[in-house]
Amino acid sequence: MTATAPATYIGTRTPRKEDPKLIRGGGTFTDDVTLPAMVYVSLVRSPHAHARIRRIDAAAARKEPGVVTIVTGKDAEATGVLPVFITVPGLNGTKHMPLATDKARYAGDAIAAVVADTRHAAKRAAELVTVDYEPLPVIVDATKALETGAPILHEELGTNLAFTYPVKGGDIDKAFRDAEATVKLRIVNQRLIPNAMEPRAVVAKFEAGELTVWSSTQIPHFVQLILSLNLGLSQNKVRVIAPEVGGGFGSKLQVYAEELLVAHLAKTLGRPVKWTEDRREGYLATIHGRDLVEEVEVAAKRDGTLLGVRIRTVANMGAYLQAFAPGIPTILHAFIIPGAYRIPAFDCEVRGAYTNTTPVDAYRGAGRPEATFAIERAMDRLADEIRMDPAELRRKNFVPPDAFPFTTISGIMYDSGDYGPALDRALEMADYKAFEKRRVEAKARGRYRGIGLSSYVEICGLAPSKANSALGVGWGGYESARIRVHPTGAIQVFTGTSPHGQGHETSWAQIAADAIGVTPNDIEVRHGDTFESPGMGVGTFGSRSLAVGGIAVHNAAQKIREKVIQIGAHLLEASPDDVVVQGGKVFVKGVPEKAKAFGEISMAAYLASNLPEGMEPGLEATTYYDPPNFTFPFGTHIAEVEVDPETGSIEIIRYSACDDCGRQINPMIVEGQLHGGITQGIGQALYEAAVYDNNGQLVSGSMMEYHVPNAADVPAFALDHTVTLTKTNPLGVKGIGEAGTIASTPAMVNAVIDALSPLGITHIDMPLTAEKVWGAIRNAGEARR
Amino acid sequence: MHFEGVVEVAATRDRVWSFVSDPARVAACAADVEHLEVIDATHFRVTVRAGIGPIRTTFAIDAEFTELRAPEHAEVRATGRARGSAVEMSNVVDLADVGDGRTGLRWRAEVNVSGAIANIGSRFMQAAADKTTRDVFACLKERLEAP
Amino acid sequence: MITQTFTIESPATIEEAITSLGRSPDAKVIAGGHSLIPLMKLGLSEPKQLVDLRRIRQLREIKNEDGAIVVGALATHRSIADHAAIRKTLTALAEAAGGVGDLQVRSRGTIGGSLAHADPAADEPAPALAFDATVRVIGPKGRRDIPAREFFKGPFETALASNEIVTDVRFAAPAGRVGSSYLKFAHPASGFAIVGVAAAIALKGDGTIERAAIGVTGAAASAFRSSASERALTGTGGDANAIAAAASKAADGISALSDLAASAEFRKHLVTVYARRAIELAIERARG
Repeated sequence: MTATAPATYIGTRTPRKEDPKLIRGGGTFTDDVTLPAMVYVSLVRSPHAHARIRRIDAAAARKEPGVVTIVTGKDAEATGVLPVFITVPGLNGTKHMPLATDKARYAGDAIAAVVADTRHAAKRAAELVTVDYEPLPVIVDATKALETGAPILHEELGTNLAFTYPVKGGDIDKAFRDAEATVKLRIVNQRLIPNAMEPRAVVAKFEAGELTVWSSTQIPHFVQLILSLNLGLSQNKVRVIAPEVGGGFGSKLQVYAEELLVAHLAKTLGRPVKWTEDRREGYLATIHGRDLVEEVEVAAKRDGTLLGVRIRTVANMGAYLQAFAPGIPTILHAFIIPGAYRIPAFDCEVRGAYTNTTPVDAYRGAGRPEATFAIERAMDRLADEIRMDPAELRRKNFVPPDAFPFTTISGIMYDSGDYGPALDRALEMADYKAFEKRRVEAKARGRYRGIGLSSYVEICGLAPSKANSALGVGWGGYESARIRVHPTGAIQVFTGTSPHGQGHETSWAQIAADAIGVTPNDIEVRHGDTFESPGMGVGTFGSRSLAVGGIAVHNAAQKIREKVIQIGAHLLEASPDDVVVQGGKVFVKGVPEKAKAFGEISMAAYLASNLPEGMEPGLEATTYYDPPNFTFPFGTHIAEVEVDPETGSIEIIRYSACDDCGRQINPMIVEGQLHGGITQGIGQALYEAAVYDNNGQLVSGSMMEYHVPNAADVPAFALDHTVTLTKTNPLGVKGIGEAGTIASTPAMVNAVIDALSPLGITHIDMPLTAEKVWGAIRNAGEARR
Repeated sequence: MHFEGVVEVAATRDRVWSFVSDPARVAACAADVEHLEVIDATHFRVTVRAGIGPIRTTFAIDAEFTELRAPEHAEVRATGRARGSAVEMSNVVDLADVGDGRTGLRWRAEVNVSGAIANIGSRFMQAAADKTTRDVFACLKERLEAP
Repeated sequence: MITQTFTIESPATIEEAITSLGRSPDAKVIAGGHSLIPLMKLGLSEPKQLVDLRRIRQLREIKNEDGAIVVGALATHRSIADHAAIRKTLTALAEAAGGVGDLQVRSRGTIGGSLAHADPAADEPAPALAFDATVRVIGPKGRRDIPAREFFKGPFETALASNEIVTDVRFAAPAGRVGSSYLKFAHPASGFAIVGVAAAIALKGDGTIERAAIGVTGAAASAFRSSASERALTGTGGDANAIAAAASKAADGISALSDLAASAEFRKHLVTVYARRAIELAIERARG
């Protein structure tokens, strides 16, 4: 390889290229797509959580002016089954059709699709569809769903057990035999509603044998693949476009019923079809997150050395398995529970249960927030039990920097890490040393102040394809990039990632610019359209885009760079080793005044009359990059809170975070990801809960009851970072999209429990609402009398 | 959701019984009736507008007396539909002769609401339940005690 | 999405509005629309006719009438919160109005709408009660005055007949050394009052409490005056003990609401806490 260009744009706070258009309302989102003769779909959804469907009477609905057709489950069998991409051993899978035929299994389960020429007519007609239901007994609690006698959702399975997933290492019985201290706690990691700002929408048109679908999705290529397979269309005749997508957080990492239905309707009606959910419908029809109950036990020595962790988890899967659901509480949760610590023994068992609730799948962090919450709450309990400072307990058990690459007791290999300095920096930012004084001062004002840590390691950069195969994930974890340089020098990067707020148009331009020796403004990054993308892309989720997709861009850009050097050297009649690529030019080292402009190089590539011997014309490169390993970002977050015992209100006084995601491509984007991620994690800790009543009704059914945190709810965050490169990829990058959410929830809860520990309070279940906190304080007061 | 109430009426038990076992008379007290259809002695359908203040939805209800033990005990099961919602109710009415030509009436109802109203109306439901109970009893008393 | 069909009329005068309203029992007044439109979108309210009052500009005015402040029914929460005389002499009203929803809601929502809709968790009923306001209404039979204490009957139920319109709300000028405050414990999602307390205090020359009025909203089926607290406070020196003793009675005898947001028990507790805090602040302001 020849001389490397200085990295000019990687590492800089390049302003986002996406923003000017978006801020001015110039982006096209799926609902903005309007086509001639378009018709609209409104779905009839079951109000019952569990009921047999006896009869669907659409007679009155059909008479409604503007109605084009009404379709039920029996009519829509041509759509095929909704896919599940992950299989775990012994999985009791379900057959999930876009429209229910025999039974409704959750309140919101779609029963019929009404198509009309206006959105209003479709909704009005849908209200007129009468369904005769025979209500059945309802089960919403996952633990109870696994007991004998519980109502069974899928009769053909004879059970509500979806899977049992064990992960073990070392001798757990010995760990507890040798234990000098043990702690035990029961954790409810509550169900959440993702609340992406843009509700889901799908538009489809079928013309001249070609299907085009616009969808608010994180994985357009998978949607294309499934539409092609299910609808029997040749894959080159199916085009899926993810236009601007307003947030996903995992809730759009799916192939949904509505995508199959709308495409099928477009094909059968021969008119473009649109479906857009409203917020209330989305609360029922878009996947929920989390919903685990965990029993955690930790064995340790008196001096704080961890001996073993045992954990038993029941995961609520909801009524059906969605695309990635079997992998979330298992692969992405069980393996990472050991976190930042060296633990000699580990015994984890996760059971998944079907219940009459909205299906559960990936939501920001997807399994890792649950894992980190479990271990970080346990660490604080242990610190309390053995009267050790929580920071020192963590430091003592950290995987030491010389141990990397480190294989955990759960069997995964961490790439790189240096947990101590991140902890130190966070402690410094949080002014941890002086905290006790602040606690005393607050007490004098009648308030309880607390400080809480969370040291995390997360697993992202999904995924090495061989690992996917071994773990039961039904597809590779690579990413693709195609770089096309036009004869006049215009550069396009087509990425297989599918950003929905992450800023890839900027970051990929920075990466490619450094390799090719131009500026980010010279590079157009395009994404989300299967028509122009590389052959297959995997998509954006699991904090994978940079560590996999960004590297694909880098590798493809290096191929372009290499050819530019070869052509440039040839035109300059120099050796490739003597040539420099920089500032949009190629020149011989030391002779910048005799340069070939990038445009001359690209033109030469396509004129083809003066190219090195044996070189193909053209200037284009495609790369598929399969990462050799996951990546493991880490860090420590520290929250400081003050509790008003009179009302149970919690004020966040200060929040400090030191994160290490390896090399940062764009520090401003990293900060943005942390701001949003931390806010979402605080939301789980203090505010959010999707609540079902015993009748399977979602009673927190709108933003009037469900509090999505906003800027006014959180303080300014103090952020810093360390940089521990990974050898897993040439840029040394890891991933940061979910880390904020993973770290912040336990930091917040640890802080509140620390505040209330003088009262003997050791745990409160999330969300820590004012009433729960006040109730715990009051009960503690009574207990002490 | 649970409704419950006790009221004493200055009327004989037989008179009270003939009121509470007559769908037309009970429906008229319970809500804004748009349409009542008596199928047979124990089975009726009624369309009512129920709610509180401006919060008012139309329900199509199918109701059946599942037990009639004159003049002391009646049970009614009802299922209803509103826009995007469903409701299931079971009502139990017990009458006791408390002397002096007066009757003690005890009413218990279990109501399960599913769908849209359950998602966003839970704040209003208890208020509506309490008001409905009060209004029904007041109406019942007034009509039964009228000369 | 509002799927039912309805007509909307925009009368130019109060008389026209009354006529429109009287045409059908299904007619409903709309002002700022921020209570009614969400209900219609959710399918919880289905009026067939809307009578939009917003062309009747005189209903927006806030004016002085023989020393009383008369707030037009269509005065927005924002105009009330920003009004200099209200901020000074009816502070609890300005504070209640200033905490409704968010800025967009405050710029559209009106006091007439808030009082007539009588959501148990609305803010403005509390100071309306604490200041013994008079709700002035007009109907086909003419005008009538309804004291605030007789106005709120139950959840979403008032003394207003379905063919009547609130024209304005009259607040008598508080005399002497007076101070008031409104504090609420807001629902984190909706911003509605889980508990909201308005305290209006008048001091005698010797500094003892001549008049105490405590209006509570959010806690019960409708907003109410806490007479037990008021009696306990009147005549005292307004010291910490007296305030605490009075506040502890603020929830006496009420049947508190219980819902997803807060249990009845927590609400009753919050009533006593916010009563104490609101009284403290009102006394401090009265003392100047």
